[in-house]
Amino acid sequence: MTVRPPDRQLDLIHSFRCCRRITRAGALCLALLPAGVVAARAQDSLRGRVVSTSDASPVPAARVLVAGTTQGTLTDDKGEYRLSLPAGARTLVFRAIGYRTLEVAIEGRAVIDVSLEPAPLTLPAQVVLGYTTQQRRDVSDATAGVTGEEIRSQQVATLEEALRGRVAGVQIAASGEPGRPAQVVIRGQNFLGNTTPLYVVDGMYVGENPNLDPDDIESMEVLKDASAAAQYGAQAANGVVVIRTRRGRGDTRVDLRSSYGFQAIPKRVPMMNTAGWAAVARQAYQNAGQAVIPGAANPPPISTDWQDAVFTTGAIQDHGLTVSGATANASYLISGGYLQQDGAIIQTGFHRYNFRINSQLQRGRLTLGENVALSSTRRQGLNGFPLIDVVRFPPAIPVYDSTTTSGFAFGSDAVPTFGTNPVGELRMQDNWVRSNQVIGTTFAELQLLSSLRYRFNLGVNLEGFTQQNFIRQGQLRFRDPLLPARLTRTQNEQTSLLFENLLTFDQSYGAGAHRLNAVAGYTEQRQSLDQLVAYREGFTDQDLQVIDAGQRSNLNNAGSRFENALRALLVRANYAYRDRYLFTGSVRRDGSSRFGPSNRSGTFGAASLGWVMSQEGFYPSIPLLGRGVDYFKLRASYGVLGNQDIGDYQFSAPIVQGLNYLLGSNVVANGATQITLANPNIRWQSNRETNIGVDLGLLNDRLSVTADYYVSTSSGLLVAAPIPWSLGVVGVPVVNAGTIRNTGFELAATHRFERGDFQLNTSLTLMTTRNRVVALGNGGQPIFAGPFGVARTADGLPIGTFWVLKTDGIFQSAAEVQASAQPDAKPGDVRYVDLNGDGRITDADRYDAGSAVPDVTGGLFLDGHYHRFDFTLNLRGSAGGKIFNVARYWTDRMDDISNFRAGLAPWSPTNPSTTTPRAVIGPEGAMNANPLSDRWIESGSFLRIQNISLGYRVPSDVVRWLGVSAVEPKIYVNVQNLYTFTGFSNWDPETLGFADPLARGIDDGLIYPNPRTISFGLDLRL
Amino acid sequence: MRLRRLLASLLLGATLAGCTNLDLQDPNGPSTGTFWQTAGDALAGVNAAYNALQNNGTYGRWLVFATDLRSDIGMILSPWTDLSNFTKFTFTSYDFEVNREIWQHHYQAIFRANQVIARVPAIPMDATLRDRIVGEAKFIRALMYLNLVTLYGNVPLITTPPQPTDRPATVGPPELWAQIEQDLTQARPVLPRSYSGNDLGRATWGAATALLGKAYMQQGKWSQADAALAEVIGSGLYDLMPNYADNFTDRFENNVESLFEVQFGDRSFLSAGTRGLNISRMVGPCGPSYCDGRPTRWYVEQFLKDTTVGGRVDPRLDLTIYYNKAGGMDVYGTPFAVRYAADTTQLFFKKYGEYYLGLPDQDWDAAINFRVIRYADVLLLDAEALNELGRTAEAYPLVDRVRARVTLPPLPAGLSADSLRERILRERMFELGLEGQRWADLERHARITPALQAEDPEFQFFVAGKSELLPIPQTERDLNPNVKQNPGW
Repeated sequence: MTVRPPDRQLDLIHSFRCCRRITRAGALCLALLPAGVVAARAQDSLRGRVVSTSDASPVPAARVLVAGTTQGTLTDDKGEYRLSLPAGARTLVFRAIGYRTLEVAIEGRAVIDVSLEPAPLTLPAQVVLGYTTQQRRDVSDATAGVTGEEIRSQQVATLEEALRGRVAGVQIAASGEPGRPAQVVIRGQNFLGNTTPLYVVDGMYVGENPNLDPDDIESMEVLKDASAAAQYGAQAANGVVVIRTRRGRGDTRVDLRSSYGFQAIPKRVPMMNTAGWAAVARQAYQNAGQAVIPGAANPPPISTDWQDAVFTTGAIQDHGLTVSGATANASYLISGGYLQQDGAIIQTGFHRYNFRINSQLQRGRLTLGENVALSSTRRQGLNGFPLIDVVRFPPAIPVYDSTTTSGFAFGSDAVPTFGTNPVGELRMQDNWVRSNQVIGTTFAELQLLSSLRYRFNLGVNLEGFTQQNFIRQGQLRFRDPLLPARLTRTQNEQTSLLFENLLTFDQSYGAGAHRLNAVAGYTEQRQSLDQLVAYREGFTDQDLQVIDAGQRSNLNNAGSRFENALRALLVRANYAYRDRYLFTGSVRRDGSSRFGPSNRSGTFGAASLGWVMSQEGFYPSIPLLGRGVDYFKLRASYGVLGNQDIGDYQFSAPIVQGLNYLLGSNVVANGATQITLANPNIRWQSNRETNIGVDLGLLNDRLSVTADYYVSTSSGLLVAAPIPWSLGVVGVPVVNAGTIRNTGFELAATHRFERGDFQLNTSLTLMTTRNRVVALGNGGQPIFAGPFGVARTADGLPIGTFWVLKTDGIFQSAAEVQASAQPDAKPGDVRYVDLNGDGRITDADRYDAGSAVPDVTGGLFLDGHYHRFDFTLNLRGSAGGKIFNVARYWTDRMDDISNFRAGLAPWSPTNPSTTTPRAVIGPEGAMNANPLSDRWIESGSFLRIQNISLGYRVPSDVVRWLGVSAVEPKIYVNVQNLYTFTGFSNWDPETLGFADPLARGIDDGLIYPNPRTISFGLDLRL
Repeated sequence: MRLRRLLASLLLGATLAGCTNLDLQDPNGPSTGTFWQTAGDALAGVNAAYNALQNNGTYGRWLVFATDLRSDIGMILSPWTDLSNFTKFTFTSYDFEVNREIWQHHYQAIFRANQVIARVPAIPMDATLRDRIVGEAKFIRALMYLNLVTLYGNVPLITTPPQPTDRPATVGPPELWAQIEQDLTQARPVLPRSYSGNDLGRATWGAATALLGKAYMQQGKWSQADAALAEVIGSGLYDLMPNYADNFTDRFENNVESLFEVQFGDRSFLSAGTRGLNISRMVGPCGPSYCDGRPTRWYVEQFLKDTTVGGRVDPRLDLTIYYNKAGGMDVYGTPFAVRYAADTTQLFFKKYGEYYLGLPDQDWDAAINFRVIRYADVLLLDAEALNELGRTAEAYPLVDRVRARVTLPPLPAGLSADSLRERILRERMFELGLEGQRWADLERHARITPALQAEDPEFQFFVAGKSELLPIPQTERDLNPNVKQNPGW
């Protein structure tokens, strides 16, 4: 036998095995031998044929290289090749995409026929890119995906967690709040509204996170560039995530999974105890010349750690059962799941029940099927701003006080604070959100011709959404009035329908040299939201939290309805010539009810080209590339996408009812007027995007690298742009204002390593993002947003740049004060930089102190198997983003008696601090407490050990006593968020609070830190 | 056959789709295109403008913080540092809630008034009613600008419904006063002398005329002021209520002494889209309320300098302020000396409180209407104008009439104009405490200076040339390049 694997014993054994096992291929394997023997003399040319071991079909475009030289060629469509041999040629190397590389000693033969063994590709061969399905190698668009196996190996609870760090170009900011969807931003922020991408689940358009059980996902593909996304036209500008759920395959099988775990917030922000707090508070009053409050003069023997009181350990359980199978013309999958999480903050939690049925039936030319998921979730989130109160509430106040109406302690004359007891704030409200949702599609497909299919799709997304807010009777704040118990219940019914008629054409010509795949369609979407709100107060029994249990006085009700519709015609075509030249083009024309009659229609389109250079005859002779890089594809795309995600009826201003007045003897006089402004001329936002990319396969295709560079320019930016308050308008009108450019570089590399029983896949993603406002409407008038208007969106800077005063230490002496732009300051006060040099500190001295947009974001995944063990490790990081820390403003402002951070030593004549100003209550400390200062801005860079898991496949004989045979249950332990390396002073640099798209990166007291989760689980397949 | 099946299925698909309508209008209320067509629309529009007077930044909550607590009669003592700074002429952020809401809510009322003024004249309806409604809106607009010019000095002047792209420029007091005078001059003749039934509470001829007088007063146009105020007095429409206290409960609202009140209802009216007066919840006594605002000790001392004909303390003190009164004083059901045993020297505001309801706490929403212009105010203003015009003798009876109601003796005869001016301003201070008048009174005579720290220690933080005016909110400055910051801020 002359066939020799490149360098590994394993492959040798494997090749032998293949020869024996596969009859037809085996015959060819053996056929090699005599041919080789016959031709066993010195030759200067060589020919042969390359086929696949799986079905003996020819392998076209396989590269045949002479080892140690630049000589080489490609096989033709029949798998045949011809090669002239240089002197001293000893070995041939056969390489083809999707096959294992083979080295063969020439040994003087003139004809060498080989059969290559198919190898699993790094990524699945078929990829669903929205309306079309392509071979991964034929794709010329910029897309990236995650497979169901990858998701399941991570044991994640949400689909955003499954994407996080996996796909270059996708930035995800998660909250630890159980069940709260993460913020997903694809390729930088090119919209000043909601940045949520469009999710397409089995063909159904879902504008929000579709709340799927990640276990049901078969594949998730992120359509990143214009060419990939243009098929979704007006809804594509934020990027598209195409999700395909699992189907039944093969014999009936039952999969069971179950895990238990617990979660807790891994960090405490070190705060002062009562003695420390009282010492600083005393200074603050003394410096102001005021009497020290009793609680600081004589601190009580209490020292409450509010973080201990509010943070807790929450239990998690997650169970799922899937039954699936298929026959020749039918398949089914039925799954059910239950997830329950108790939060890491008291009073918070989430649970989800989900049920899915996917089935398909074929009869003759007709295929019918449906994919339907039902879910029911219930979420209890945060009340108020407990994550500011948890640090600022003074330690001298206990948690409970039996003398108050609520039973919770709060400010008093001794410790006068209007802060809210954070435990009370969480415990005294029973708030929850419940959602019952059906997302599904049903379809009928008719094979009209062998290459032409007609498909009718009907998609539904029905959601019943109930929000309950019950506030118990009881005071939680110093001097608050005692209000009756109050219940507000909001009932939403959302209906979203999709009707689609699609014609799909799929044909190859010229023995596979030309492959054409195209779809043309007409689609319609209708959405409506009906909302009903009821309010009652005064509950005799506060455990009866139902509208009818409240009193009939002061009741209040409200209701509203919102509708929108979209119509579109679309065409998309993919064409591949000889696996070398690739083309994709899409055009879509949308009409949207969200714009006025003259601006309703928009046409969007894009195209991409790909060139698989490694398939060219001359490729092997290119120095370095030809030999070092097995696969080389260049891609380029350009296109225009749209955005219309601005809410309904924005082109008209309603007359608001209920602005009533009392006249006569308290007679209600009806009032109504316009309180908002509308812009009747709003039109589509369009995003022009250019993408250049390269896909590489190296080291015998064990290493694959994808790199992309994009420039995306959004013009006619739709934005709810704040307008001057003097216009007297409530809310902000949506306008088409200006242009934003996002540029970025993305790199994804995957390496597969195998040795013996050991397998290791390593993948690395890295991306850079540069976000710039190129122009703003209204004469370039900047937009200010966020708390204190700290985030400024202006020409030449990223969206939401922190725009603040620059600080320069602390005044140490009267002489320094005298020489400064702050003549009224005193030693110990914060020194601000007079940037415009006018001798005063004013709003004109603010500067660009960075933005929340990180320069680089990345993820590293290790995924390995050894014998019966498997493990995963995921690191994730981000560098260069900034955070405006509002919680820190409250603890470090030094003119207030909120609690202080541990170790904070305010300036005093004996403690010449250069970072912390003197503590002084009242007006003298006001300038030190200026919120618009870079004192509150911190680096948000971090590196996080996101996920570690270790699994073991239990041998079947160990579990034989259970009465089952051939079952190998997998047991595992999984740790999420083990540790975060960061300089950020609060709990979590991954900030997702109020989430204003114009003001990201703000730790605003609604940040629910991401907890550390440890879980143990069992996967069983029967 | 096959073709037919294909066509049938295509047709089915098209039928299921094909009926989507893209012409969707907001079903949640009429749109601007269909409103402003009827007399009902005109009334609803002007009612919405009145509704804007109930907001926090207008008469609902914060105005007295700027007009009374910032002045020498009031102060803030609150654990809320930023609020406490407000009356010490200090801000950590110019967007601070009080400053922000005063600005926003005044301009929201102006927007609503501007819509009425722009749209109602084209509505085919009864001309008298139409003119009246436009006159009411002009009165509201003038009232808002009068507050703004008093507090901020220089503000944008907007007199038509704006476009989103408008960036109105700051104008100075002369233009603002001219607009106020014009609006009131135009409103006066079209507003009725009085209303009946379910219209009681709307702006009247008297309200517009008195407000015009007040606008003249602030500009030192004494003779025009006197003309307007004398016209009100001479109309015979108004009189003092026999009992001073009856002006500050919800029991004698829109009475004979009242020229204009902002109408408030208790919390039972919240669901009807209107609200209550929050002042007492914020600045009432500690315990029943937040007691953020307090009277200055100097203010109380001034009250004690005068006595009634019976030799007792000015009864207005006991209706304006809680203090440790000899003989006891009830504070929401608990004697002052008991409730504040730890420190009986404390002082709190009492006016506009609902202590008479017998409840232990002050609710957020008091049912009491806020008196914007009372007849006592008109009498004292006219007295002041006459005195400034050298008609001192004519001023006396007007002041004495106000004093007589609370059994204070007439002013001593033969006072110089300067002395009488002092006595009138003091009388206004006693009569109109916490009624939004003090800041304007001091401003009219250029008395807002650091020297006031003798009366109110908060004035130690007053910076001449700066603290006379409030700072323009930061966001307004940031979003509108045509707005200038006030001097010194």
